[in-house]
Amino acid sequence: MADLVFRVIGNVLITVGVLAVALGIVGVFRFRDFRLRLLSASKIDTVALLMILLGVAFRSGVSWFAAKSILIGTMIVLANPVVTAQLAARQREDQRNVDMQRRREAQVYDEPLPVPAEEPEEEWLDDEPGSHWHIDPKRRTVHYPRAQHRGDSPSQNASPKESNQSEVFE
Amino acid sequence: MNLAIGPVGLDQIVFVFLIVFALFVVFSRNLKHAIITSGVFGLWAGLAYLLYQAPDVAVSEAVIASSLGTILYVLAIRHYDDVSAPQVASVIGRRRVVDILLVAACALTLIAGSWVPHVDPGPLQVEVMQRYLAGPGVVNPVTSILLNYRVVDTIFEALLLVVAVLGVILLTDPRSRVGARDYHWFNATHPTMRLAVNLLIPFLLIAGIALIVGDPYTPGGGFQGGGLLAAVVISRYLIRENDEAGIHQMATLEKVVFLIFVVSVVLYIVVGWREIVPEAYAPFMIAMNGLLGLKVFCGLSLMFLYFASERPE
Repeated sequence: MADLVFRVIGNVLITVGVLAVALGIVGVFRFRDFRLRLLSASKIDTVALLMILLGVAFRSGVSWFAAKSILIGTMIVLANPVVTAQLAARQREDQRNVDMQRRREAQVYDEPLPVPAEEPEEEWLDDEPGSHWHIDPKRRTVHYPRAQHRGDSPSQNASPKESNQSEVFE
Repeated sequence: MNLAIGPVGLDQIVFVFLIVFALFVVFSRNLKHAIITSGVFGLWAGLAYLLYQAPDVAVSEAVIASSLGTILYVLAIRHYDDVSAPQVASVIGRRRVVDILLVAACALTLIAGSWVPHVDPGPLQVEVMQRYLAGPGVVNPVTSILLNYRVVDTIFEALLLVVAVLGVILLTDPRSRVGARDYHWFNATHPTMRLAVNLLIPFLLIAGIALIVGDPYTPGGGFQGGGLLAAVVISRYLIRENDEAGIHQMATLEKVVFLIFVVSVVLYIVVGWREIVPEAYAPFMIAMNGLLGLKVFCGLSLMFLYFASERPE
């Protein structure tokens, strides 16, 4: 009886884990922004994997196999959130450097400064690539497509020539 | 172990993923993408080795080829802004060609795999496996093969690593060694980062030492254990706890250990102590494995530390 209960609990946990994996994959392909993708992918790393490991442990009952899977789960709980946070922090650092570089270039060209680069939080959520630094050509400002620097796939860009070099409109 | 799903086995699905990631590596436009994808390819290769009952090779593939190799590649190109290879893409054309290649190769693998009949082990294979497994009772069979039947091979592999480490040390300018750049957010002094690394290091230490010492029924080997121990050094580098003096001591230790390894193998195998004292075989194997693990540990750690401390242009 207890064996059957363990098996049922294990199956339910594994099902929840697989569903979380599916949702995470949908999120990775659905979101366009690096941080939103990271948010979605980290769910696969922690929640889904932990659920599957717990389910496997429940299904095998009290055994060395269950102990090993719980040990693996412990390591994952220790490591994966830190890794995800590191990725997010490094991407933020990278984006900050890119923004500062653009500010410097804008000063060299003696053009009006783009959006202040220190706190770009509101800008993360807009989905459309190229929208961040796309400023009206009538204002004689620099057009900087941004999708290339956010870790998006190159197919998202409008054209490779446009994304490689910045253009100055007269 | 019956893992077949209809005519398609689990190993064939792994092969399909191997093909997919190998083609992505070759046809990727960005070098960083290629490196990361080759790491994923290494993980799938490790799974394939595991399915064919070679856990030792799987561990060494996952530890050395997939993890440490990826780290070294990323460190080697990190000072370049964006390394891309547009000529490959232009020669091959658009992604459509790659997709067609992928589908064709996967279909071919699945069909060919479903045609191959199952082969029972022949008498020669059984005989060879029994002789290898009946060697020393204490160490694991792969270690026994590596240090007994293939010992000259192993010496040259270790020599290769020594030469690689010497090359890395000599090619990086000693005056350009700088401390690692620190970051603004969630950096090396962040308490969460330090706590996580300090909690993970015992796991790595235990796994590495267990791989080196080994027992007859678990995977083991000096190379794999040394690689896992090198991960400890990399983790400590992440929280900036390596000191400069330790690096030079490690460089000396590596050469000394290599000399001891060569001398003892020559004494034991070539001069013939193996026939004189056969009961010392198992302790000798364990000691040699430990030396090999120490040597690989020093070599991989040195390569990582020298690469990581290179000054950007």
